[in-house]
Amino acid sequence: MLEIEIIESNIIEGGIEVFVRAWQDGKQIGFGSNGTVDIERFRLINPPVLVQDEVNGDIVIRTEENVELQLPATETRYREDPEEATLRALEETILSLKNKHDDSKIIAGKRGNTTTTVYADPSAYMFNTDASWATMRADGTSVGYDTTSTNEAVFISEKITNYNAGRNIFIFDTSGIPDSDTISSATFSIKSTTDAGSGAETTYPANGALVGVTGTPDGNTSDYGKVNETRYADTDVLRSAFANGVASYKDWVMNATGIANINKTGNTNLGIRASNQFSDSTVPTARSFAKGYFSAASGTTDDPKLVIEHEVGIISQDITATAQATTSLAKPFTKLRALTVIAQATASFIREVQRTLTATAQASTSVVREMAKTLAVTAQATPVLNKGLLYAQSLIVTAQATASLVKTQVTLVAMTVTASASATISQLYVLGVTLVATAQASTSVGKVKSLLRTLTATAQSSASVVKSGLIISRELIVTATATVSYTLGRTLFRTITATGRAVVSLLKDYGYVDKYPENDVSYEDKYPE
Amino acid sequence: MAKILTKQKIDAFDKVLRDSSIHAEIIKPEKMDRATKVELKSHAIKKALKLKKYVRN
Repeated sequence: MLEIEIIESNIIEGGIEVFVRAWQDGKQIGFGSNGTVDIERFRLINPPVLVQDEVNGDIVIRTEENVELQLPATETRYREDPEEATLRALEETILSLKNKHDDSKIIAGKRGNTTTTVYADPSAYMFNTDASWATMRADGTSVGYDTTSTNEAVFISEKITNYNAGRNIFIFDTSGIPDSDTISSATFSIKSTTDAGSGAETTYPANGALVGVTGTPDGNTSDYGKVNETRYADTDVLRSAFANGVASYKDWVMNATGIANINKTGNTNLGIRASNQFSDSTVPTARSFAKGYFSAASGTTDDPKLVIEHEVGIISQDITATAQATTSLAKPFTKLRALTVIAQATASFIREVQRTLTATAQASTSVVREMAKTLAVTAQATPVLNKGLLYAQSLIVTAQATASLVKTQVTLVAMTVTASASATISQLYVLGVTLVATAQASTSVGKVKSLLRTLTATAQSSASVVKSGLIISRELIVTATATVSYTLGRTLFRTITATGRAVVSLLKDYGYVDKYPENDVSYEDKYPE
Repeated sequence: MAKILTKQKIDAFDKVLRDSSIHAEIIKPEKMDRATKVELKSHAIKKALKLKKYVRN
């Protein structure tokens, strides 16, 4: 069972966008490439408003009989129902998505970039016939050209009296996809008809091959020769899939060649030809064809469609901003290995994935939703990591630098703050092996669920851990006028060492301490009922 | 980016939805252009779609 919650809808250029939450069998679907998207934006270009209704439908779309190809006349009944048509379009799109995950990583309120569903307008059916197989196949023009039928041969390759072939062109307006977006998947689909046929051909049966179109379609019989032999999908759709008597969308998952040919500034033209109509194919000896729904006059939920999943994307491995440079990347999805910002440079990154972030010499670096292994900040640099999902191994803040990490999920192996540096981490899920604050450094960690092995504060440094959830610290070492404060923590200490004029304050601590120091240490509410 | 239709266009589309149908309008001899056809369909969808959870089988 699929549940679809409509959050918002807007008219856009070429169609409509709908913001949606969805549940499958009671579990919310996490959208996006990593499953963190709570609300996905679906854009329907040339949206359908008609739904098939053979009982009460008052709109009848007919397909004429094709005597040469022995295809009978058909008629299909529709009713106008924009609400149901949209829900069906959303349902079919959601069920066919490639980027679909369970609910474990969903970030509440996070909106996805886009799934764009484009309905073909128009789709053209072309058939050709000749006594010679080679002539028929190599022809530049077809005998027939039809854009008005709704129930036609998706592919046909046969020998009756003559050799016959059917080829099709589907035109999609894909100009609404932003030029800078990266397409992660694309699927072309045609809905089979319930009377879809298979033929008698068993020796050389044809399947449906998705291919490219050379040049721009002219909208006449010359388009037959433009359906080329470049495969846009690695797997053909089998004729047998069309012959099961059930009307349902048949999918061609586009390959890299096909995706690369999606036109973000205009129309994307796709072709279908029979798999035994390629240059090296064997001549058929009997009938082989399949039927499906083509574009109708005003758009139906049966129309051929192209579902494209795309994200804002920049792919870069190293970015360096130097000498008062300003670099800003908004919402890139990259595998950025190193970001280096030096000499009063400013770099702003949102939703990055990177291994190293280095800010030096009065540099200002702002990173939102990052995954960084190492964050190094030196010399009055100010980095800010906000709402990150960090997998950081080292946080190093030195020389009057200020580092701020907010709402991060960090696997932090070592955090070192030295020389008047200030580091603030709030609401972290930290696995910290070592936290060291030295030389007038100030370190504040708030609301942390942490597994901290060693906390060391030395030389007038101040370390504060507030509202820690699960801290297992083996050693707490406070030396020379350093101050360490723990509040509301659930702490399991093995050793506390305070030397010089150090002050250790444990408030409401649910700790287990093997050894207490003998100097200035205060405890309060340490063993609650 | 969301597209705002003019009041004149909205009134004309609402009249189609009230007195006729999208399909009837599209197949008239004096066919509307493709952009207008899409706007009419999108307007009809926006009006029909409710902000709620739909259960599909």
